[in-house]
Amino acid sequence: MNVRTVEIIGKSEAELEKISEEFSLGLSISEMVQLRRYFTSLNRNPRDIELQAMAQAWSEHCCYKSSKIHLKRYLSGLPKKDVVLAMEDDAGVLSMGNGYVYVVKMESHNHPSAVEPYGGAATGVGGIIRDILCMGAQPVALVDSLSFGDPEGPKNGPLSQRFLASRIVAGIRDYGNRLGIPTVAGSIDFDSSYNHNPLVNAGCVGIAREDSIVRSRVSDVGDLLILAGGRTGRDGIHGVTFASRRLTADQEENRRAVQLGNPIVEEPLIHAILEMVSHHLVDAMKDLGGGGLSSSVGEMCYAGGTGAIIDLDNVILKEEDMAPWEIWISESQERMLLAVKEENLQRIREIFESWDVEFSVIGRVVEGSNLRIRYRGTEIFNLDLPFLTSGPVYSRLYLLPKTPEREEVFSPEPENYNEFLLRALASPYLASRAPVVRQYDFTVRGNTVRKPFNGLSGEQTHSDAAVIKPIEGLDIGLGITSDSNSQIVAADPYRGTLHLLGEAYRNLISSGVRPHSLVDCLNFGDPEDPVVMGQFAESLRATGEFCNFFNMPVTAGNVSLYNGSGDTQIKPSPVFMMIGLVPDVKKVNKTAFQGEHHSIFLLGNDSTSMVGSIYHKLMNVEGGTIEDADLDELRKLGDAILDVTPRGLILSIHDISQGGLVGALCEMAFGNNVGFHVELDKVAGARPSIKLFSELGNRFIVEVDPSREEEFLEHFRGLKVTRLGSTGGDRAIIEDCSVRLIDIGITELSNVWNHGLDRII
Amino acid sequence: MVKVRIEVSYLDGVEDPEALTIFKNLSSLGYDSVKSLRIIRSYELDIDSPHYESVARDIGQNLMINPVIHRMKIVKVEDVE
Repeated sequence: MNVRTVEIIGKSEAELEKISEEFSLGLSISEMVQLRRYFTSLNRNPRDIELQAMAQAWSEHCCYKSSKIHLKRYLSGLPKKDVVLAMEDDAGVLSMGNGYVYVVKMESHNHPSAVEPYGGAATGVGGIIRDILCMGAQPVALVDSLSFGDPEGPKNGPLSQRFLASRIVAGIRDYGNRLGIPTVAGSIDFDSSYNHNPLVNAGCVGIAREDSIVRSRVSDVGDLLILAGGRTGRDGIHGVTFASRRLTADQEENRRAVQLGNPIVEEPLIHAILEMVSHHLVDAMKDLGGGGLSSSVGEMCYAGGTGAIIDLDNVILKEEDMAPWEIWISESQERMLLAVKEENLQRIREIFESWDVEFSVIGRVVEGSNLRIRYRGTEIFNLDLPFLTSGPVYSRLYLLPKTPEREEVFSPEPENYNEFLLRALASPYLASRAPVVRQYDFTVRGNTVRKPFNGLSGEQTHSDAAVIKPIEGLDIGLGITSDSNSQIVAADPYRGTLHLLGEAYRNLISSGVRPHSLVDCLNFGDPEDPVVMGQFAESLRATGEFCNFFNMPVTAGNVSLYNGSGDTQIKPSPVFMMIGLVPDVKKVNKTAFQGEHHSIFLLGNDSTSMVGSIYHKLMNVEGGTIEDADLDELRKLGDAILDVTPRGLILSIHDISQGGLVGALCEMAFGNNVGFHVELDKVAGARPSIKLFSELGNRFIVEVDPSREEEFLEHFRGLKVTRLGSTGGDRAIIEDCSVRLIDIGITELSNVWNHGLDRII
Repeated sequence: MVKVRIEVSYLDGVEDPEALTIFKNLSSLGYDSVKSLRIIRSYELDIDSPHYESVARDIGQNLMINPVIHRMKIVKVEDVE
């Protein structure tokens, strides 16, 4: 019958280790010993399907065994403003007023994308959409934060860095575009630490009525369990145990974890499920991701305090000869698990049939805490859910990073500032993201008010954040940004994370949107390395502190560990997706200079820190300490900017981040092809390179109509405001103490900026 | 000069969503006799080198396939002027 009993009772530790290897369980010796103890107490040996289920549930990916202790310590007592559900179900749910909620989640799909970039990235998008859908929400926007290897770096196995980057982008494009959900924001990072392990973090936002939210837990005994959508096949077996260890060069082993994704199956599934939700036909719902049925059924029942009986024969298969354990842990895509009342089955059948979606009733919710599986008339699985699902928790050794009191590093000045600026703008770190973002449909659904680009058609520049208007008839908007910056987090995990969160905050503020909630996607290296765990703990400490300071909830998140290959670990790479609210989408800010002869001001205290900057990266300078983040100033500046935005006093605004002051000025100039002439005499910094290229601090560049200057200065009284110069002409002119540092035509600059990624994507 | 064709197809066991969709639609259109369908992408290149096969293999391996999911076949179509 294709079910094997595996003898573990009485086996030695060495033999247990061998069993873990033979069945690709990925369990450690101590975990195998716990299993031996459990089955010894039951007085029977496990069957292969039971062992495989344990391996899924106890994998790092599913039970967060290394990270839980830190997540609890730093994120459990956070503010709950407007929170409907945070850190409970598959996605976070927040109230946005008028009876509506937005649903948000971000997840990594790093390991699959390293092996098969197109399918890995595509299924990452498909999976995050189902996380939103399973809360009963209509997905309305996607974001993607990507980290690629050094474009000139060595191949990752058989795949060139260029192949990896362009196929990852293609996977995101094809899945999102085919489903008709706009990809509106994101970030792209390049660093050699990602050469063998690119990062693909996909996020999704959905909208629902608060009263139609569906939970991921089932507490109604007697409910039927339905599996709907794609068929179950051998694809993606052992995906989670694969994601819970470092990548290997074994192609044969990797292949089993590969899937391409099928948006044509997911699209009607979304319609069918939303129709059922609108008729209140679904009691609980969960998408099938890592661990397949094993994880979904187990977690859904365990959370609701019920048990279940499953008939495995009823699962619709792609291939007839699958073993029961393969069916149970398959990670085939586009599948959803629903718990429904028997009396609603007929209507559910009609809806699925009208959308041409396959489904089957695979089991029933029962009293108790046991999960039982029947197959061809025999019971082949009977485990206690609290034991199966709770998983071990580790307090791994962690080594806090040593931060020296103050370490100054000095970099040389460029010989020619014009040439260096051209080089920086053409570098992959700063270059226009258009060759990537233009592949994504960011306006489908017709809700994208502030697009990823703004300015004249053909000349456009980056926006700081996207703004969508998700609800018909209401002017309320959602601002969305997603940011990463492994350079500064690597330099100092604690301070760097605060600066990175500040950057996400500033992106929303400069768009005119009030920051509201946060989702984290934490990508780190091997948790068994104390240095990595130290980075993780420090980064979380910063996140907790930031959110407490700004009264901002963390509503959902994802931890991805074991990112690295061989002896190389990725740089610590937390990715943050921040969502903001704006009462009237018509009153948001622009990035591009709006006209000539307008005044340019710099808001915010000076920053002279160059650590983690693109300038240092291009000059090959490493080390140094990062200055503290000034959250108090950020709050005051943010409030002042948001207060004044509806009055139209700010013609355009851009925060200073990667590329520094000169990078920000150039991006503002590119949008409408309007030049500028500024003087840096009053900007702090011992050297021109610091004035031009330092990236930290809470700084914004603002364009103001000269006739309203007084009103502007009055409004920002008490905050640091520095006059830089004015807009106009067709050149970028920057002077410092009467020395002309930069003098280049805007079109010459925008030309290299626009084509910087051409050779990579 | 030689006209060379590089044919790229999925390895057995990798599910091709595009082929599946077409196959499903053929069945709904009543073509019941069709029992399976595969999509094979082909590229035709005119290569002016006696080592045309290794040139084509190099291009294929570097730019067109991921050996985890694809297989590739190189066929000499004809000599061209």
